[in-house]
Amino acid sequence: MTEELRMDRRANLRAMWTFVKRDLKIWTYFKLNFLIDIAGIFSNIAIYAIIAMVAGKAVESSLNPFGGDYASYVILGIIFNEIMSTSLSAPYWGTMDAFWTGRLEILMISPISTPLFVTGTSIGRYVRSLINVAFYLIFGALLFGLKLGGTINYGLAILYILVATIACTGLGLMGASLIYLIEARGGEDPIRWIVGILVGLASGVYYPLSILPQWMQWLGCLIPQTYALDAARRSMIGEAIRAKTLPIHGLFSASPMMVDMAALIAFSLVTVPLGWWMYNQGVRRAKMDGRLSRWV
Amino acid sequence: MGYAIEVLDLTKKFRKVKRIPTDAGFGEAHWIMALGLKLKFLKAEEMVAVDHVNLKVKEGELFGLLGPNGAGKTTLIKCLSTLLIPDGGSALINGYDVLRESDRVKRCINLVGSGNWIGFDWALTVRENLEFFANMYGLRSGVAKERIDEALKIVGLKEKEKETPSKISSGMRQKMIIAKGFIIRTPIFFMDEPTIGLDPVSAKDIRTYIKEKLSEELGETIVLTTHYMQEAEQLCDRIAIMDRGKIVACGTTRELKDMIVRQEVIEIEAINIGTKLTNEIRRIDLVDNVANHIDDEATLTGTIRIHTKDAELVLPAILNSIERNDGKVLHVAASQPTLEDVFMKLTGKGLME
Repeated sequence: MTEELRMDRRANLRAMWTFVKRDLKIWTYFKLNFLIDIAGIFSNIAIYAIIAMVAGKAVESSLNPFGGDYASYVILGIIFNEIMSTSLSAPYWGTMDAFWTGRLEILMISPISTPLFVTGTSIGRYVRSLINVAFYLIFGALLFGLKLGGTINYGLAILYILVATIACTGLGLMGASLIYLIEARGGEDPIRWIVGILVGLASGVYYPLSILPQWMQWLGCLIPQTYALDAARRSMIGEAIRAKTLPIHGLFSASPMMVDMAALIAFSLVTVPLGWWMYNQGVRRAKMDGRLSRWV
Repeated sequence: MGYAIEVLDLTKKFRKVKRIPTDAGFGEAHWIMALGLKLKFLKAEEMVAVDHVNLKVKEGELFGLLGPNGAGKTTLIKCLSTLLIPDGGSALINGYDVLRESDRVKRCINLVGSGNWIGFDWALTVRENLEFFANMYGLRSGVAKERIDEALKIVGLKEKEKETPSKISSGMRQKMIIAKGFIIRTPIFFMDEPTIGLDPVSAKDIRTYIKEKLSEELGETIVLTTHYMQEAEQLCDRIAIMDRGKIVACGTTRELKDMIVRQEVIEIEAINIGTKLTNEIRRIDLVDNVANHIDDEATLTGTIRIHTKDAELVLPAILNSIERNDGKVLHVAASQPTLEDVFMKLTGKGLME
């Protein structure tokens, strides 16, 4: 007689590694596309290096807390945002990919758990993102003069980005849940869309928040990316570690780095349980309506 | 021996929201039109896909669900495999409740569906795709390799294992789906029209493997949905006939055929057997049911099966009818009842209609 299947820890790790291998194979399947992706990273950095040459002086005074060099400021912003935007979009694209390829139902009846399914369908994108980051760092340092500060604390920067990644994953889960809840299957969902706009406008990826009007600076405080970018940059290129760069810093006597960490933890505590709850509700709704696959 | 599957009063409905224009029967709401408002109203419609189904499948049984397209077979399988949440009733799979213990249910089931390369990655080879699913089900690499080799051999894809799904035919992709099912061993195996789109030789090999290896040797409980009556007859210990979401009969092939023992069946092969002719024959006295299978759409050539209480008495009237409708009789025979005749008696229509 055949027996019930068991997924122990080793089986789960094997399943996870299988997801990674699959995603990397797909990514590198069309060699030309892979090369174009890498070339895209190069051109992206080149554009901002040129902007830094032309207009960097104009924002230099606003960049004092971050070392004063615009090229380094923006390259680090792009690198940190690459990781956070991956965690924002990976649950959505992982689920979408499974849905449109017809794999969603097949994985949903396999013994892998829903958290493993979400992580597995997302993990390849994180690996790709880390490879992209490596290219950004190499191009940035070798060709465009990425200057890191004298008191670099890589561990601290990674810690901030890690906590921000958790918070963004919560937002990403909320976005992914909308695939089931409102059939947001056209490549965009309202949550990622709104957060994406706020990131571009008011999180400080491309320019310091201090050059924006006060109300826009407060808008930036509504998303975790702003705190992560602020703290991670301070850790990598920061000099004036106690400078208050976000309006929310002025409300507390604690150091800005502490405020940033507290905010990121608060975001994580809210977004992850809420995102997870919404995702499960979405799956439940899809199972009620028969929308786990394109065909009933 | 206990039951592997117990279904009690299971019901599944789907709601469709339809837009209806304001002038489509809103009676008193003339003021809306008077104001010239072009409003659209939403109306929810309900479609019952599975209708109060009761079913018990014994451990180790090879059980068939027979019914035409749209009968509710796939929806029932999806409810039992946790992919759909039923609206009413309950179901136990290997003793676990599909709603409350879905994680345990998932450890006990395997599902093979139909439909080209659904779920496979275009960038991975046939073997890599199967390895992917082996890992999703926790198979150790040695066991996975052994089972993949065996499954590829059974479905005849060994020579194509290094090809990607986009480079093989649709029939071969269906074989990939079946191979995926064969590498996973669980107490309960749902097979939803597995041999659809396969050539007869491959279909026969696969049926033999299901019967001899999975059912008889490994003792898996297998639920097979099909609208191929020969497949159901050849493989299944018991068969449930489904129509419009309901189970209309359930039993062994013998038990089901005994239901129409007092009826005679005439089989006529003829040219030009359209719907008009079928309806005309249906109106002849003493004719109970009529079904036709068209083999050649251009000439409307095919077979008509007629259930009657007295074949000798009704045959002249039937032949007259065919002649009047410009048909040409090729062959007439008294036939043994088949599962399709049972279906026809129970539902008043043929399986392919």
